[in-house]
Amino acid sequence: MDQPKKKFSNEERIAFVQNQKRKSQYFLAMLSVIGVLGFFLIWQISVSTGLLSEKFLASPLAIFNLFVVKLTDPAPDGAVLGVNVLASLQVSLTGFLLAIIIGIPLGLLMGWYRGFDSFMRPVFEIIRPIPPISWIPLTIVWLGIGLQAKAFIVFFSAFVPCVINAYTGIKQTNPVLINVAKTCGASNFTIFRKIGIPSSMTMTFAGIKVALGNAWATLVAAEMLSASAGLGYMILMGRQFARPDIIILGIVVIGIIGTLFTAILNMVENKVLGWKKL
Amino acid sequence: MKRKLLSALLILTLCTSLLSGCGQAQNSSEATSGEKSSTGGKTTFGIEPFKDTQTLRVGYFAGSALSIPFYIADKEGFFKELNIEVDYQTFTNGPAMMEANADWDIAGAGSAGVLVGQIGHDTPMLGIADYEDNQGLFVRKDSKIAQDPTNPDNWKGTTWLYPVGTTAHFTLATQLEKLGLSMSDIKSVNMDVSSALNAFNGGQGDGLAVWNAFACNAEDQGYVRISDAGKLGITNTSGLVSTREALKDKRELLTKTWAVFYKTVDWINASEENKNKAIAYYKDSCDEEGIKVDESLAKRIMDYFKCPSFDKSIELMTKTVEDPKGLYTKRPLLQAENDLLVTMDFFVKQGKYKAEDRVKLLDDGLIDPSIAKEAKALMESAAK
Repeated sequence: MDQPKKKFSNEERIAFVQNQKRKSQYFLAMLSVIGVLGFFLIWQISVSTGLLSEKFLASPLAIFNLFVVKLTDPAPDGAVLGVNVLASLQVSLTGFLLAIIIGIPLGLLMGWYRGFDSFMRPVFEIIRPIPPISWIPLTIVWLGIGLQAKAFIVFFSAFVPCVINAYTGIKQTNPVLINVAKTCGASNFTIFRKIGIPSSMTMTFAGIKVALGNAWATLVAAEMLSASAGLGYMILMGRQFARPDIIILGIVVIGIIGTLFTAILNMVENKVLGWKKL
Repeated sequence: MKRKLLSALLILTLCTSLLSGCGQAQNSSEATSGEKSSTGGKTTFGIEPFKDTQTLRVGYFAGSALSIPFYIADKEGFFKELNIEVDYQTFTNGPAMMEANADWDIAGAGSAGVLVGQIGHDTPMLGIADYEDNQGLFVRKDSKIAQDPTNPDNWKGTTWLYPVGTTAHFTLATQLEKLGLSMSDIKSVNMDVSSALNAFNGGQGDGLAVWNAFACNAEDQGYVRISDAGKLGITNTSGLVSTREALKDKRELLTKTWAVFYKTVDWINASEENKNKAIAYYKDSCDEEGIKVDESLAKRIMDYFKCPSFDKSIELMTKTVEDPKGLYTKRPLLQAENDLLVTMDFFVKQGKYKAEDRVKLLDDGLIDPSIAKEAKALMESAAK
């Protein structure tokens, strides 16, 4: 005899769905962890079995040991890991934040005001394809060799995606919303502020994420300009003294910090754009 | 008709570009002494030519005098008469050259580059290419250091621009040590030599440590040379390096190249006329690499060039002495090993290399005298 199907109340149904969702999230998170661990395991086995030469690629365990050592030992680059991380954070965050502060308003204004777009776009299109590294010789002359010079190189790599995404985001504003606002008598600036900017935020956040990646990617180049500490500098010194383990440690730390920043950005994005998910 | 004309024009353009392409190898073996036979006639140094053409891949250090014997031997036809074609791979810094060791058979590099190659890439040194004295320390005329370089207080807290981990670093540290100071008494900013000079011109830093053409350029721009490797008595050894693969597969080619390299040094020093030719060749090689050098600068750089003669090079690679520091007791050391260890010991002291690296250098025979010995035998048989 079939058992009668249990009927869920609304509260139970919600709890059941939430539970399923939690399980699914947990499962996906575990998959990510297994993916990372699997990657390190394959790497470790490849080095331990001699498939990859330790001379050219240090094992994850060796990198971890070096990480512990570098927390207190400044050799061979002359600075402990913490100092290097702080120096790099200072450079990359200065350039990155400047790119956001200047790039996003510029992109939004260019995307909204046609006249401003016609005025700025040709200059932007000329600057856009220039590789950030090619600014190095001029940067030395213009800005010297201090923080501002290195931040300028990082700024250029982060600035372009900020402008482009903000520009594209605001261009994609739903014309129906604009027309409704116009019908209600809103001024162009009010529509820009209350409809254009919120509509562009998804694309803008995507641009900020790309900009963050670019900022970290340009770090080594910026620290090639001049440095006495920093993760890029540490990598260069690893090359200078034939220490691939130092190079890999620098790369891994850059990767981890980049991942942390992306996670923080995702949280900020969820907070700011929470209304879009309703 | 139009189509035929267009086709003919296209074919003509293609042929022209192919022909001009063939003629554009700037650094190819273009002998200036074309009379010499490459198939059996007497060669300049009496070395027997190869029957078949051999390609020698040279890791060439642009703008540095230590590589110039390769270029001169090529231009004077010393390689061509032996049926050796030279293929240049140009670099501007030692570590990059060593990383790309799969692309060359023999190369010349400064001591820091040689050490990176030995420790990180297993590339043995075959001989000494130069004792680089032109590693200069520069300050501005109005600086306190220029007024009294012997006062340590004038040095304390100053900012120096130089490539960290190179012989410029070694020179600066030696100068500081002489004054009773250490590297921690100054602020170091890591920059490659051309950027460092550029920044110094832009008013950055209090001091500059650079080498070769950049050092002479700094001098020409009115900066005061406080000291250099020569004045400080630093044994700053540049080396000829090779790869294990080339040592295994191209031994005869390396032996003849080694002999030609040092015999070319003897040729340079044989007469004033040859010295002047060498200066012109150095300028040509810099022009080809886009490095700004005038005749006066080329002359000064070649005056600093102190590559040992053929006989002296043999002696450096065969004569043995005990390790003066008493750190290595397994066997007596070659003079060339002792010379290179001066730089190695500095980097070990600075925490850049480990003491085990010093032992590895000697245990693994990374200063290899075998080619020098074979070159000696080759020249002895050529003399008979």
